[in-house]
Amino acid sequence: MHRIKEARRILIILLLLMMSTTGCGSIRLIASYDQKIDDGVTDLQKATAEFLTGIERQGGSTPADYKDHTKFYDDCKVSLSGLIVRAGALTGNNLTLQQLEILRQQFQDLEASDQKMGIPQAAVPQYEKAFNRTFTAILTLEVAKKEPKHEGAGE
Amino acid sequence: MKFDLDVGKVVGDMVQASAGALAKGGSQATQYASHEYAQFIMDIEHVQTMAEQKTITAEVAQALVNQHKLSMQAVFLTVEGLGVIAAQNAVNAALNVLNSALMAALGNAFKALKFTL
Repeated sequence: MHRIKEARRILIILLLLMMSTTGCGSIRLIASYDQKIDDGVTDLQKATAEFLTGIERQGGSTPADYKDHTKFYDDCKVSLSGLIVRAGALTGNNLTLQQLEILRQQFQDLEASDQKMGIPQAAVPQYEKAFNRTFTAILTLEVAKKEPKHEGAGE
Repeated sequence: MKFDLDVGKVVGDMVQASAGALAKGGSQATQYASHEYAQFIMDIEHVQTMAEQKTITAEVAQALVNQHKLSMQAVFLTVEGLGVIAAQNAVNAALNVLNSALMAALGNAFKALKFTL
């Protein structure tokens, strides 16, 4: 009788241990929210808005102005590279990683257009809208990754 | 260089391509996608108008359309992600219920054993 009780006791402890080590039985299909991705993308959005606003204010740019814009493009490349490495290091973060690659492509295309034909003033709001759509898409997904609050939890 | 785009066809293809993900993503995904699709249509139409009025060249118009197309790919990925998160939350909510039931059962087992701590 004593042995049966002992076996049940061990079984219960094992079950509790299993439940605690598996995060109380929750599953994860996508990476968790990452504050650094959130902050990094927000900073990139601000830098891009500043850059485009500056061009709009000066009445657009010509290919001759491109040399003054290289620092902006280089800074964006470095920031994005860091974000891509970080996003790639997290399991289940493939969607965010693809979004950051899209953003990288957008910066490359913008730089190529800037170098070749400049950025006309009338085109600036449209560039800004396209970039902001991508920034918003990345941030919407990132924020949605935050754990939902269960009833009665954390109150 | 000629700039021409069938906006209606593009939007139709977009809706068709994302229908599955939208169904999985629930109301949040649908609301978000509807807003972005509408904005995309307006933006493309605006680019087309500027090209027709020669405010911008056809080459610049094409560059802008390419930027908008890329940004919509990012939107699709978010819609897909919202679907994955909705599924994850649904499974975890069910597991939570199961957990509570298990914990209650375990509590009863403890009571039956009358552990002395």
